[in-house]
Amino acid sequence: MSERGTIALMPTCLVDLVRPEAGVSAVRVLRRAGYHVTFPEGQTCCGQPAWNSGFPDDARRVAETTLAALAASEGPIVVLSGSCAATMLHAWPELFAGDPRLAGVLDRIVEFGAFLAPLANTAPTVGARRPVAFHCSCHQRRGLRDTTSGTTLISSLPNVELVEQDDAEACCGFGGTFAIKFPGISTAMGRDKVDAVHEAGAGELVSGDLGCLMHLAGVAEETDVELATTTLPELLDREGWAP
Amino acid sequence: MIDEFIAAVVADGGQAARVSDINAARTHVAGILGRDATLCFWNGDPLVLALDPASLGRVVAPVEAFAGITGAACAVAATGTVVLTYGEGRSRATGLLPDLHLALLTADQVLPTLGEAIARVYAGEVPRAMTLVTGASATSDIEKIRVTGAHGPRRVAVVVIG
Amino acid sequence: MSIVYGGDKALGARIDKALADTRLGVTLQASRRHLIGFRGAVEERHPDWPERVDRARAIRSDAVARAPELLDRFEQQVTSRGGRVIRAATAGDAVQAVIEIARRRGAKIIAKGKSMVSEEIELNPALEAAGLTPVETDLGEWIIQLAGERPSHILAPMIHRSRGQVAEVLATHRGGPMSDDPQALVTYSREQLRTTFLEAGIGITGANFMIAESGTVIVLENEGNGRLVSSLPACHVVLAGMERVLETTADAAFMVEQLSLAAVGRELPSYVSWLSGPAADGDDGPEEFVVIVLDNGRSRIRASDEREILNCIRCGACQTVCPVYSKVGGHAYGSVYGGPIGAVLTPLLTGMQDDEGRKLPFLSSLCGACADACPVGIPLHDLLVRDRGLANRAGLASRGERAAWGAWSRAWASPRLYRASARAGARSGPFARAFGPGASWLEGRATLPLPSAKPFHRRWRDLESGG
Repeated sequence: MSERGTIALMPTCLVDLVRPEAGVSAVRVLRRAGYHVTFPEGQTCCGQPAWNSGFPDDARRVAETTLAALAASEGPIVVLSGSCAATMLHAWPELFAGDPRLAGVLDRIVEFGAFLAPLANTAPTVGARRPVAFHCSCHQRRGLRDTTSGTTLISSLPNVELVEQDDAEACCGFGGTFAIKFPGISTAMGRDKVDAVHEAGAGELVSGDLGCLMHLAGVAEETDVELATTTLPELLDREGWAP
Repeated sequence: MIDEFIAAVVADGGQAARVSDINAARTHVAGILGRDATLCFWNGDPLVLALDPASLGRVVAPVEAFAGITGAACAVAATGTVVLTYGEGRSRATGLLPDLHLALLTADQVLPTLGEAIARVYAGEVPRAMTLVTGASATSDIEKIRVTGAHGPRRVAVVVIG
Repeated sequence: MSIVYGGDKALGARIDKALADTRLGVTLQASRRHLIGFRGAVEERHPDWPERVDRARAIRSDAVARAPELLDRFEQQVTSRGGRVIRAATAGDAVQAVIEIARRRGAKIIAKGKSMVSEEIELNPALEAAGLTPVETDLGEWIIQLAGERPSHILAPMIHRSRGQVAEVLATHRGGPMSDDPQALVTYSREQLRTTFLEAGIGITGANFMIAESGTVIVLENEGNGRLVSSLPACHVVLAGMERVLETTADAAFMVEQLSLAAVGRELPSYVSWLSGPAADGDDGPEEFVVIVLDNGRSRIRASDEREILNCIRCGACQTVCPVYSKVGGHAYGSVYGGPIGAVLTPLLTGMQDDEGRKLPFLSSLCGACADACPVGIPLHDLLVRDRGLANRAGLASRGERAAWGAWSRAWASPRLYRASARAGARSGPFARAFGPGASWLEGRATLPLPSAKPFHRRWRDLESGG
């Protein structure tokens, strides 16, 4: 059943601790797609919170544990977060300059949506479709230069209609510790995003980044906007996506 | 290339025309100025002198003039830009203070690109001052709404001869 | 430190005030969308935009790296044509130099073209204290001078004022009613400021670039006041940051277009003045030409790992496109330079010593739109993160904060302690909601996501065995 080979899953600390269901969904989806899924032991966090907050030594201390765990793995390292994948690709070269394990790991890093999008087929139209919007995180858009993986995958689902919100490229306002350092600005930006998604007619927002989703879910609830928030793995699992 | 230059000037909101010779230019400029126009001009520029601007209106100081008539060092087709350099009888005030800046050029003064124009002007001695004029004076300082006629001329008209 | 002026009003208070000004937010959003639109058009007209950015980055990096040599050549060229170059190590030196010129010439009215450096050195208050009369002539700068404000954007200093608010200022100036129609406001300003150009003893401009090989100062503008203040008064003084230097006229021709495309979406603005000395050959320009080259901390930045910020050509695109700037505007930053450029540059110029200044790198969600918009390829996103580290090391981070990150990193560097902290976190609900980060999260968001009772790493065993 694992005709496509082995992958190493990196759920990321946020998915691991706060939305483990997304990790479970990712395993199911990857297996359905024909991959043998491994979960490298000993991974904790990529260090992004400390790196972005200006504590690079703390980032390195934590990330080194994860680097060691990933270095002991094989196959593509499928990451359940655009921002973590981007952080590893951009910050780890600086944190681990000269480390012989680095190249072998960075070469294998791929975000979940980017990994599966090439396998997506166009969906046949099937009756009524539920309108869903996709939020491409800033890290995915600008760090990974990928604005199409998520939308390609969602467009391949028969029961779901992808709608596009106005000003989709605008930051949602999460920004990691920015969300708690400057909550007024962060939630004002979040409200704009929630309003745009709502105006586009979507009752559900999907993203490859859990941080953005949690932030927008909180803002939507606070402003009484009906908006379900779903990670990309959970959506694909629920809709029975397969290549 | 002259067509490209004229199109670029017009696209920027300016007026531009090509005429066959200096007499046609005079008629054209007279049409732009109308009757009883106050004007100033570069009396150190042979092309402007050939136009006989004194016959087209009342000659006054730049600070009082409705129109200022200059020549040019060259022009840039790609951007619709007139390149001015200054000297005796070619004052900075002439193309700057009046409401209307009228620039006279010959067709061979029009160069394809900005790079070439600058290279030409800077080929010899470094000019003390060079001004690239592309369209009329404007500002978007008020609510990002573009309004023309800030401090410089409200209008630019270019006449290409030949 | 003069470039950070918002010291007396805490950053938080300025932000709250800005967030309450919904008209400001609407204007800034429209401005942001407009820039994104014209930038798309620019990239269609110039499909080689990425190569242009690379070339601009190379030109600027090389010029900054060789700045001392290039500035010497610039000075030699200017001097050979009868002009003068004054090196001002500090803001105070630059201010003194201007005052001395004014005193020597017996000049009273000083006509000013737009100059961010003049804001940085707080020139106007110093001139006024010396009994001189500086008058801003850029429309936006004039209005805010009359209103007693600071500019809130590099290119559009008055973007925070509605037309009604502009009309209010001019009505006071006129001593009578003033229409809020933009054309009427501009016409009135043109008429009023004409006298200033004609009466001023000194004209001051900034410099977008200085060309080493020809001793040329370049001034881009749309209004024409730059031409006027550099032509009519008998003395022209240029204020330029030392990093503005370029080597050749060919570099300059390219950079002028790059700046104009990034700033306004056109290949050239209405006017670009190339000024290389006092008037000669019967030209009616100024008889005296002085370029004051300001350091004010730039050499220190040039010697640091953050030197790329000196490549900035002040196009303002990063400010316009920044989603945080678009919410709070320039005044919220409390510095002469706001938005992403300001958030990086301000703390560096103040050597990480200014308390308010070094908070600015954190006033960002790190979305990266600024870096994408930068026409000279400055990695603004990375510099913001670097500045955060520098600020923390310089003392912005309290011992408590450093200890908290240290405890976190030591725990999460151990897979065993990471898993233990997950168990503790799952039980932390009421505490997490009441204090610190949890409480901040709940400002504007209804729920605080808490660690799951069964994290993924504890579900793996079942999943692995086919569950």
